[in-house]
Amino acid sequence: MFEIKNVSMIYDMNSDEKLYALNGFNLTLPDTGLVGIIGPSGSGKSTLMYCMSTLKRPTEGSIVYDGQELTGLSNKQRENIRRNEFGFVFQKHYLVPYMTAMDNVTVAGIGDRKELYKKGAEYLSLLGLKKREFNKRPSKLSGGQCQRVAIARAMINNPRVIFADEPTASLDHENAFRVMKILKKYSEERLVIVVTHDRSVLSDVDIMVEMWDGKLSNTYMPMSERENYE
Amino acid sequence: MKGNLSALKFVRNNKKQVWVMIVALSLTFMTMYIINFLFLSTQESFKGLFLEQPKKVAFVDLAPDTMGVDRNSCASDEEYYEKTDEARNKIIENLKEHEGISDVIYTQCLYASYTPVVGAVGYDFPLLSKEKIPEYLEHMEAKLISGRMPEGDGEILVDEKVLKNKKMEIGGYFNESAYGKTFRVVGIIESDYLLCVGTPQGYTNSGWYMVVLCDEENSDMSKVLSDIGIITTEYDTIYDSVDWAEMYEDMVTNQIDVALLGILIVVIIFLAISILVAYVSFMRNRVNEYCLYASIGFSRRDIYGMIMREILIIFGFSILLGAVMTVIIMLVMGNFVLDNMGLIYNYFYPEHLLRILAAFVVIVGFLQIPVSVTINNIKTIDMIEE
Repeated sequence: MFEIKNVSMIYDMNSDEKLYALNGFNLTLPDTGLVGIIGPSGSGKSTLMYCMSTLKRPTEGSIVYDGQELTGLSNKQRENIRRNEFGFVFQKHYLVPYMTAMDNVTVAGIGDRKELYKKGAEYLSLLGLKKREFNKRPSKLSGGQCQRVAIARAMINNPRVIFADEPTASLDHENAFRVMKILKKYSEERLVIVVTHDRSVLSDVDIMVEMWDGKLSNTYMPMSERENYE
Repeated sequence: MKGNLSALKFVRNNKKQVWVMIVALSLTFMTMYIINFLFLSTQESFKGLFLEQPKKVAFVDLAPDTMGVDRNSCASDEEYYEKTDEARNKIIENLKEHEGISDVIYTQCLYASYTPVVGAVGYDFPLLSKEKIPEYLEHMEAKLISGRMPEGDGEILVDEKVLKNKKMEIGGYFNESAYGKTFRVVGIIESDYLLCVGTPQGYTNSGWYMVVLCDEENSDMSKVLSDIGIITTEYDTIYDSVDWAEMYEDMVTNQIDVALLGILIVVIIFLAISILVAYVSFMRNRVNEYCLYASIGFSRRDIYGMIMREILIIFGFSILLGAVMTVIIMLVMGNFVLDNMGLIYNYFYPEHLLRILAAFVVIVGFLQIPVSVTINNIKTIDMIEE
């Protein structure tokens, strides 16, 4: 699904010492599966995710998504892809403070309102929210509950790719495990890219991408997954 | 397939903020229209007196020179007065023969005043012999609705609106402050012209006039007098349809229009500033929300559309609420205040309503400034998190 070739992202282009967030990065990802991107802070994980999701344009290189070169797309085309094909979970949940949990999930929804509310309720329940919490505003929910609402929002349009930046950062172990299980299930038919620095949440990934200083330091498929692929 | 960003979510979930805005806007709408309603009731109340009455009656006081009497050729005052009376009587006879003039009566007049919401008007009315009064009422299409016709001296018939305006009743003394108990109200008449008429008693300060009962086509007295060979000058006093119409335009319509426009502009400037400040604050609190929408694929146009829909819902609802409040307040004021003041009023002034609506459109236009600035400064989450 993704073919990333020689992608570099340089900040501070005008200074003498260029700052490489990504430096000649190459990666190919399949249509489905759970992909974990791991690395220390500043290794370029989030920048890679932003470039792949069209939020950022890389300075050089090519990112092909589903046969389409993303780097050359107009703003309108990039918006359309984000809107129709991608789902996002950001580090901070970015919930709209005046909306209920349910409205926050369906705000990005495409299609029939009733269906959206039905689907939203289904996802929120799956993610461990109780029905009475659906109508609570973010200020009345815990950080973990907010993050789960943000995950449900990312899934509401059944996107082909979910980009999740530290999706379990504000969750306890039990809920982190539950969320990863749901993302794993979702990745059976779609692609889920999880950016994290917490290796423990990536035990179930199909592909692990390790980054260091804007470069790919290692990529591997866990043994169990390799057997499945074989 | 695309889903729009719903404007209703903001409206539904921010009831307090939205209501404050709606109440402020609807009160402004109501205040503006009520001010128009009250000011224009003055215009309406004056219409009959200024525009309709002079089509039926004119008051003419010609200078002796105009009547062809030369002061220097008269040996004494008595001769001068005699010649003036003769000349006037001749003119009266000639006027009576003019087409469209049904009668001309040289008589003393009395002063009446009428005070609407804004300003006041004073006008003279004739003091006739009791035998002439029915003829005058018939000509002016007025009828006695209460009390009786004047039978003795110093008895007055007063239009019901004027009587209410002066807070008087039958038996009260007219212009008591100036004439004491000389003129007593004996009957109430219904007319379209704030009409008053009475019988004389002693002398008044309003002077003597030729009261010309005319039809509409012959209500321009300068022209009528010119037809009988009298050329009027600036020394003559003529209150006819032309003169009253000019006064109505200069002193009533134009001044009220200028005042209303001035009030509208001042209110709208203050309202626009308040709404702008409120909206800048609203939008500042929602920067992260807009940023989220932009990040998950909504275009700036989608976000702009949502904000504009929110604004239109708020303004639309404000106008509806303002209209309902305005109707209620107008009914109450009309029935309990203006009627008691003997004023004439209309509820619906389309031109002024459109002016207020246009002012609201201008405010929506002003709101484009903060909206456009916000839209142009929307960042995506990657930019915020860096």
